[in-house]
Amino acid sequence: MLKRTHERLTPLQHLTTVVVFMFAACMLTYLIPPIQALRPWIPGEEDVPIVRLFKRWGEIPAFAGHGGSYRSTAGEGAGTERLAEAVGETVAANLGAKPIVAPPTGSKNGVTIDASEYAGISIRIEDPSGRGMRAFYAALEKTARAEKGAITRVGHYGDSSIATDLITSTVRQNLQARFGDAGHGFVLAAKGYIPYKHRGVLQSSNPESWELREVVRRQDRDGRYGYGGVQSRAMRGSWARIGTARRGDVGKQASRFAIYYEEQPRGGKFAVRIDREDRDIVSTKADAVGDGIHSIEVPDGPHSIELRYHRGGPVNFYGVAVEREGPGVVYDSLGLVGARANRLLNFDEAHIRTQIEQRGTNLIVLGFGGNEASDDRTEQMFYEDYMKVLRRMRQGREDLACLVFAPLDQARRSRGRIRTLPTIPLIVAAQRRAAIDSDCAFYDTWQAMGGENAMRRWYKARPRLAMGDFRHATPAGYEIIGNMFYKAIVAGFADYLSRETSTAPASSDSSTPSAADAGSSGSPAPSDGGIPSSSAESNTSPKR
Amino acid sequence: MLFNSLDYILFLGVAVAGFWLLARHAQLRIIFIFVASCLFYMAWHPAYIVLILGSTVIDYVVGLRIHATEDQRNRKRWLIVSLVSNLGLLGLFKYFNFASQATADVLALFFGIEIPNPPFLDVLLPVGISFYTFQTLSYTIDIYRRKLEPTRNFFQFAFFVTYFPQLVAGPIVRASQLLPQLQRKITLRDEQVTQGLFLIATGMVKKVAIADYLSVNLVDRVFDQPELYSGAEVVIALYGFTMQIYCDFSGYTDVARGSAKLMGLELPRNFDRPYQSASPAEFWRRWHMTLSTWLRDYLYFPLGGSRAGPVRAYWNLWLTMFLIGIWHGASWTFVFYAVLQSMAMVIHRFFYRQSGRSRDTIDSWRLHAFKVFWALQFVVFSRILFRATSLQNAMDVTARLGSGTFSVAQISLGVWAMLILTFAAHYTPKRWFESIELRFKSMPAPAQGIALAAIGFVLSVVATSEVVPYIYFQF
Repeated sequence: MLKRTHERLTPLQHLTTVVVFMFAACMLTYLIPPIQALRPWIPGEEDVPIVRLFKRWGEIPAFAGHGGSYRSTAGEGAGTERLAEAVGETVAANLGAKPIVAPPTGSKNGVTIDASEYAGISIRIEDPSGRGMRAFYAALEKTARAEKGAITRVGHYGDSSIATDLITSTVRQNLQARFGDAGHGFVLAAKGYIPYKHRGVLQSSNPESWELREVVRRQDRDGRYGYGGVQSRAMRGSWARIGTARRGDVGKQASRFAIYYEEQPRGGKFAVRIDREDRDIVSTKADAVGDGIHSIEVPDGPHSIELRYHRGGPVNFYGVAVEREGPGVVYDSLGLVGARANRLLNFDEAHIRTQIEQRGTNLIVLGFGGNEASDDRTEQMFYEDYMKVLRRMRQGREDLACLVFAPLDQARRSRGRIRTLPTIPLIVAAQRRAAIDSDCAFYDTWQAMGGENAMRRWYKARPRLAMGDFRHATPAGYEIIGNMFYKAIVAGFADYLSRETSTAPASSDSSTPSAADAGSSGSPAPSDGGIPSSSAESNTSPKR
Repeated sequence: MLFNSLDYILFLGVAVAGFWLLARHAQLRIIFIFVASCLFYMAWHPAYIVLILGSTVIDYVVGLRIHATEDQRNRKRWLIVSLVSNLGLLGLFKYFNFASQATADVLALFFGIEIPNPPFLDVLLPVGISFYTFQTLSYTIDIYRRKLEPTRNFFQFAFFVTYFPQLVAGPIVRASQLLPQLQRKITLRDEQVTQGLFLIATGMVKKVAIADYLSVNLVDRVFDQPELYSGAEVVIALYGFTMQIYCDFSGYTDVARGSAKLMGLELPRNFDRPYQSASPAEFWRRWHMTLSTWLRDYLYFPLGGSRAGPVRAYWNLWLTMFLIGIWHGASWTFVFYAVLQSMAMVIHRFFYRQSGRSRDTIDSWRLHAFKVFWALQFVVFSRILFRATSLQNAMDVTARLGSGTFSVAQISLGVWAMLILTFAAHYTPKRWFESIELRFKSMPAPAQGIALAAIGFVLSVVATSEVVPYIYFQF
């Protein structure tokens, strides 16, 4: 009968009938509770269809700005204003931040930080005890004073948001522009097939010839993954090349390559070539399993190093540090895709301690939480995890500063809206508590982004600051986070300097008492030539 | 206002209802749709309505002026006014910044002359400018060629220029296609109702369920950070983008054509299963057909087409294809994309002519499948330049392709399923799809209404994120 009726309808009646039944079906979603989730619009929502379009007049269209670099739509003027409307002035001010110019250094007259150097941030590093960052700032003060060979090293561990080396490369470039370029820092010897990217350094290898053991996957029962969390096992024919960058403001020179590897009784040999010329044959054989470093000095300039499996037994690399004499800063990007903080517990305790000591790291940053956001866990469980991880990584060392770097906002689409995952505030709270209870510092990345539903605003901003998975930022977004974090470090440094000046009037000396204490305690003496380090120069060179 | 939003569905409902309620007042309903189209356009950026209205007034006057005089020099002068004003606006808003930066790049690269801050206009690209510019140009050029009588009814002309279904991303409708429909008594046929509703539903499914899904779950991630993906994953992302852009753009066209049908109007087709093409030339006959035919009729043929001398014929072809490529965007990636496509067309034409084949030659199914396969590969891999945000991004993606890495661990099961299903569907016989349309057509009106609501519910559930803009809006 319906069909017969259908045939009798005029086209307009037909169209009207369709619309009426469509409308009726939609109305049912308001009347039948089990299908209320399908309501096309929820009464009380601030955005009324159609009306909302005319409330947004003047907003940048969602598709504008594509086709070129994000810089072409951002930057000065109207672009920044539009971005500021979407994500707030503080965030917008940190996109494409102005180039950092180091003031004249080298005098012994103390270091000053002008307030303009950290203007444009709303979130600063929390370090209630002052012990979280003290060792780092003491080292940075020496570097800022341009003391000969004073290198300040940071190791930033984290998940995929760190593994892209976008946040870390921004912080690295800024710190190096401000305090001096002491080289790119630590990179894996070979990255095999894992997603791994470092900016400002050239890397190539034959991936099929390398076997990788990752701390994230717990692939090594002994827990000896090396400083970067990935052990690269060479076999016959394996080669890997690492070189200075050809472009960019930093990373174009090196004067020292330090090769980190595993020593073992059955260890084989590897060959080292510098600038494509044979240099050394290094044996990894030792009486017991341990961690070795082979360091090579070169004239400061553009260089490349090549590692090749030579012969004998197994050869296992942890990575290569590309450095310069300093004074300056080295910022190691140690991101591990898919990592949760508790994966760091897969490190052997003694091994990771030795690695961090050998590396001469002054500050360790732990930037996890992105992957934990999907876990069904309580705040207390997250807290206990972070406490264990902080203990494992810092191991009570006063000379090692530590900072917990909160995760980015993580969101999911729910009923057509992008909303922050409920686990994010729990993780941030747990991290803050664990950091403070462990005498570590804390940086609230989540609040720096804008807190609740920041991912929604970042996704809708133009240029787009967040990716469509609502888990990661775009390169522009990461740059903003990097700039904000850099400024927070500098702001903390300014506070440190003013504190030190007020507590130690004679601090025009080459080092403050606390800095000297922090810098020299607990550092093992070097055991091998080739690396000019000493216990008195804790922030100069990697240790053995 | 995006088609794939509740706002558009409501807006369309009001527009269609108003259009038919004013059926007895032809002029009034044309004015009604013109005003609705202006509001539709202003929902993005109100200021730019001035541009489109300015362009409308200029071309309306120019059309009348050209028609009013028999003096060829005067006619040409008025045509130049139209060309300069339309192409001038397009050049200013779309190409000025690129031309400025490109000049600086070339001077720096080849002559060592650094221009630190080349002139830069801080303006947004007006939505749909590349589409409505070509539409209005077709009007004045056709009048100049005496192929079209100008309309004296300003609102009819304004309706043609601003008609909301095709305003921002085509299809590029010519005056000779739409104006005669407005000048006749507009009636609604029953088949237009079912076809219109079916097209809108199909377009929504293509956009929301396929294009947006592939974009968010695969393509955007890989192109944003190619270094985090293996070579194999990048290849899959390129196939993903190939399907995404087809579903995105053809989905838009489906909704546009469907919306027009509900008002008893017909807009031209823009796609004909382009990935079934056996050559680059055939691809461009099946992809964004209204752009290809526009440039063919208003550029390629006037230049002499293939009837000019052999060298000139290749030049005509190269230039036309280059302009089709560069029409898509003002950046080095699109310049290289345009060069790649135009060279492919020239090379294809050369070998086609050398082979002595004619249009009537039929390939064996094996040879045809072989050609379709390789034509698709060309389309897929040339899309790197289309999708990349910069040349550096394109190089990064290409570098990952050559990285010799084969892991596909980061491709989810859903993405695999979507790619396999959509590519398989693209190669099914057309009649299969037509049979689905017939089935919908045979349903009683109430069932059609409920089916459409059900599709809407499903789309609201599977939609990956908030409303994602159409790719071609940026052009």
